[in-house]
Amino acid sequence: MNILELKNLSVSFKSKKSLTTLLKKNNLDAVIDNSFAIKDNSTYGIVGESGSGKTTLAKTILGLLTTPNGNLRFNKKKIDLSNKYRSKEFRKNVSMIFQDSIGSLSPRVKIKDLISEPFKIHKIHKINIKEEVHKLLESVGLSNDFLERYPHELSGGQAKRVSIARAIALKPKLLIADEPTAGLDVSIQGEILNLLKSIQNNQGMSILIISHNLSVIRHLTDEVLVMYFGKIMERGMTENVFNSPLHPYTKALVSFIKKYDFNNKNQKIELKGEVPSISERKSGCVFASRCEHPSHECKEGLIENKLIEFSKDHWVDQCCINCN
Amino acid sequence: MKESLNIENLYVNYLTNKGQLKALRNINFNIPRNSVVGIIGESGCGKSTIVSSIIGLMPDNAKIEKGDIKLNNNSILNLKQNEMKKILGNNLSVIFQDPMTSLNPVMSIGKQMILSQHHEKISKKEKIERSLEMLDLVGIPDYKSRFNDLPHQFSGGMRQRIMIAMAIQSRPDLLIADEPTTALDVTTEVQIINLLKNLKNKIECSILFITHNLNLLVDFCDYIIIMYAGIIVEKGTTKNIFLDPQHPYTKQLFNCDPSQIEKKIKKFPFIKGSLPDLINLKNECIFSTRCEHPSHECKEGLIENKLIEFSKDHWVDQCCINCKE
Repeated sequence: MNILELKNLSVSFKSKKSLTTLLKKNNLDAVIDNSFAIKDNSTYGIVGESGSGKTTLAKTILGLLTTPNGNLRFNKKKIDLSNKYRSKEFRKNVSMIFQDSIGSLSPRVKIKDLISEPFKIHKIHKINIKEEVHKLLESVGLSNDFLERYPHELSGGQAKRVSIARAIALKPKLLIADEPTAGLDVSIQGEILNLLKSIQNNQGMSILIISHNLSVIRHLTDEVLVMYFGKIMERGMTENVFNSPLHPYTKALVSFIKKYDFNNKNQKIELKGEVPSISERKSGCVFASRCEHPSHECKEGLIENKLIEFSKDHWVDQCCINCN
Repeated sequence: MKESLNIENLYVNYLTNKGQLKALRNINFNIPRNSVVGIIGESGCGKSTIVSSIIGLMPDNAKIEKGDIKLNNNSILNLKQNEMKKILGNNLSVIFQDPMTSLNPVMSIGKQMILSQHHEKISKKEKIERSLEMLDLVGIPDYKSRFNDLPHQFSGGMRQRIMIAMAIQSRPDLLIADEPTTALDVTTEVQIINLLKNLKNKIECSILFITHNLNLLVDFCDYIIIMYAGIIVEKGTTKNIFLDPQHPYTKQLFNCDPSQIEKKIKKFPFIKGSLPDLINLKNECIFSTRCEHPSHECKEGLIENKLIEFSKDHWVDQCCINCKE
């Protein structure tokens, strides 16, 4: 069953009005016409360059950004994307771990209050909150000594654990994790990812993980979405996408996952060409400026970007199939 | 003059209200000319403390107990502020982790690039020319028309390129790169690393490179230093360290890298246990709490942690050589 369905989502930002932008169209299209669904109890990954709209997508789902374009269904209920307000039930069921965990914890609040905050907001009094906080801390692998500490007394990995404890406190059905392991070393990264997996196994939830780290995505996720410049370029089962990538951008990304090489033998595909400017979108394929073998239709901008099903559970952009 | 940087016997403490935190103990290494040295280790192992003691940006509660840091064979540890100013940016530059916050947001990049040449006795016109040349070198497209743009008008990768252009425009002897690609995506990361590789040969500088990414270390570094809880546990050439790791921490760290595991895994490997308390250091091997086969001498604290030369260009902690069997 699909827990979340997103259809034709587009997000655009209004750019600041100045003399130069007044003359042009003053909308920045960050995300254009994306659709996907998230199944129960599975893990999804979004990869893509900075600026490709990964975080915008996540923020729109949560209601931190508004857009009038697109349909969102959560648990079969329709959600109004043009409104910042999300019902209490939705907020209880969808939570997020932000990239900068020390920054996302209030510096003046003790850990025990930070973790019990979700219960207070949602007015859950039936349970013993103190006991629940102890349980949560234990489940993320922190001892009770941390209860009285402030966020600045935590290391990066510990702060991440506290954010996770807060996010899972109300047993959400969907957890969105924005770069959960950026800046952590490989050992702590392993611990944090194991923790997310074990919580998923214990209480059942879907995870949407945004990351630059392709090897993490490859091991952790069931399905993966590859975004480029505001559009999903390829999506499908993680194994299919990583073993037989179709889109040139995915091919370049996959070429980076390699064994250590001491003689520079590995062929890494370095993407040439400049990233197009978001304020001056051209018609036609968004990848045209960096494609190595663009077809005639692609160069002329005759094909629009649209996902087609290449094989079962493996969708790829139609323009780039022509170019290959 | 073979080395651009020597660190000799360095001890650094932090004064905290719980006591003295012994952040660095007995650090010895040098960076040969025109080579890249990489440092790797857990967060909290002292990587950034090494950087801040080299550039003299120590927090107030830090104290250098012993040791010396030499740049081109001249000690830079006890220099006065104005003497240090002459070295920073001229002989020694740094690229920080976050390109979003290390540029001044209200000043055009051109102005910032001219200002960072304050110690050069050349005319402003020459400074502008040199800055433009550097922007071209690091691959900013349309660099002439973008010279007066503000930092927010550039993408993250572009900003990191501008930081690199600024860091190398006075042709430093040593460039410190503190996780320069953590905030960037993989495609940009490759571009930045290739750029650093080319520039290194062009301006003939040495690089001290700090990262968590093991693949980048193999790709980029000539020598590698593995740190654990404030000491160096293993150092040597990249090939020696990666093909024949000796210290149990090094081995466990390499096993943790998910990019080297081909089959899809259910559980990510990690190093069990936690870092020892650096305030109340026990009289035992620093790694004994996480070591899988500690020897009798190790557990009793009879062997001091000290690097010995295991083979040519490969130094390992003496305690852990005993523990292996």
